[in-house]
Amino acid sequence: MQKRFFLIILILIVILIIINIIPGLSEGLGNFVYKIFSPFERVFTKAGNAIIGFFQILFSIGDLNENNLALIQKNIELETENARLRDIEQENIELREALSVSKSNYQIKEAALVVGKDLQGIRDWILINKGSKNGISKDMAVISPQGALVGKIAEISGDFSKVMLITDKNSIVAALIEKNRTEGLVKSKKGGLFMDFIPNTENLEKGQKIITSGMDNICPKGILIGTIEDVDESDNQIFQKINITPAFNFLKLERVLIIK
Amino acid sequence: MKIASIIIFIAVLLFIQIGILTQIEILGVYPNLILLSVLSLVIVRGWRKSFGWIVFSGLFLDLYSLQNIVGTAVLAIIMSSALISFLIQRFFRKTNSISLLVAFFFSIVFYEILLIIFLRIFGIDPNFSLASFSIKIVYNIVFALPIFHLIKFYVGKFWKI
Repeated sequence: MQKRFFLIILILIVILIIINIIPGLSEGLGNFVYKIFSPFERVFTKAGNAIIGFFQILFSIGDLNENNLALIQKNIELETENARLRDIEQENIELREALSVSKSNYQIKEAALVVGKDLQGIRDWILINKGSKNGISKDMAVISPQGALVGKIAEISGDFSKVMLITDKNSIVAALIEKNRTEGLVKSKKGGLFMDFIPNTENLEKGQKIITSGMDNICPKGILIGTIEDVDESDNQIFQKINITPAFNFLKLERVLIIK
Repeated sequence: MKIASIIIFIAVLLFIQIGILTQIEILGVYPNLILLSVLSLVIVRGWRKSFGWIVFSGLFLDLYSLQNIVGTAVLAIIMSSALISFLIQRFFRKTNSISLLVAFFFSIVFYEILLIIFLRIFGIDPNFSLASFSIKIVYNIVFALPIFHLIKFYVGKFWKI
C-alpha cells in the first residue's frame, strides 16, 4: 500500500516534469483551463465587484455631504479648465491638419476582457482574453479604457495573454513629469509606484501628472501613468523621490485596450 | 444530490476566492481559501483519501498563478498536506481550536516557503517582502478555523468519510 502510494507520487512528478519540458505543453494546458474557467471567473468577479461596491457605498454614506461639496467646487474648476482646453484642442486640430500628424501617438490593436488574476499573489499579473490568434505580441502596451497605462504583454498563448501590471516588482516604465518634462523611471513598490533620482532643483507639487516618455520603446509617449502623491526629499541632498498614485484602480479593472 | 452539493460548495469557494478576496487585499495579499480547504480536508478525511483533491487544487493554483510552470503549487500543497496530516496524527490527536491553529500555522508557513523556493528554482522572482509574508500568514490563519468547520460540516453531510 505504502509502496503503491509513493509510486503514484513518483508518476505524478514525472508527469509534471514532462508537462514543463515539452515546449508549449504547459501553455496549451493553461489555454485549455482558462477557456473552461474564464466565463465563471468573469461572473464571479462581476458579482464580487457588485458586492464590494455595495458595502463601499454603505460605509461612505457619512462622507457623502463633504464629498459632494468638494465635487461641486472641483466641477466649477474643471468647467473653467475645460473651456480653455476646448480652445487649445481646436487650435491643436488645426495645427495637426496643417502638419498632417495623426491624432494620438498610438493605435488600438484590440480590446480585451480581464478574465483572471494571480490567485496566489506571486506576481501582479492579469489574464486577458486575447492572444496570438488576435495578433497580440509580447511587450505590447496595455491601457485602460480611460487611457491610463496598465502594463505590458508578458506572455501569450493562442487565446489568452498575461499582462504584467505596472505595479509588478519587475515593471519599469520610462516616464516624465508632464509639467516640467523631467524624465525618469517609474518602478513599483508594494502598494504603489515611485520615481526616483529626480534632481532637487526640480519644483514638484502634489497632483502633477506623470506620463510615459516613450523612451523604453514599449509604451508610446504621453500615456497617463498617475499623479504625484507626495515628494520625498528625506536626507538626500541631490535627488528627490516621488510616490505616485496610479491613474486607475487595478482591482476594478474589467476591460483593457492593447495598443501598438 | 451529493455531487451537486459538492459542486455548489466548490463554486461558492471559488466565488469567494476570485470575486471577493482578491479585492480586499492588504499589501497585495489575500487569503488562499483553496489551500485552507485542502488542509482542512486532509485533517477531516486523511491525506491519502484527499490526494486527488490535493493534486487537483494544486494544479488549479498553479495555472491561476499565471505562471508557465506547472507543478510548483502541486508539490508545495502535497508536502504541506503531508505535514499537517503528520502534525495532527503525531501531536494533536485530540484536536481543539489551539492545536488546529498551530497545525495550520506550520503548514501554511511551510507551503509559502516551499512555493518561494520552487519558484526561484524555476527562475521566477515572486513578489516577496517580510511584511507581506507575515500578513499573508495571519490573514490565512484568520480564515483557517471557519473554513475548517465549514469543510467538516460539508464532509460529514455530503462526503462519506
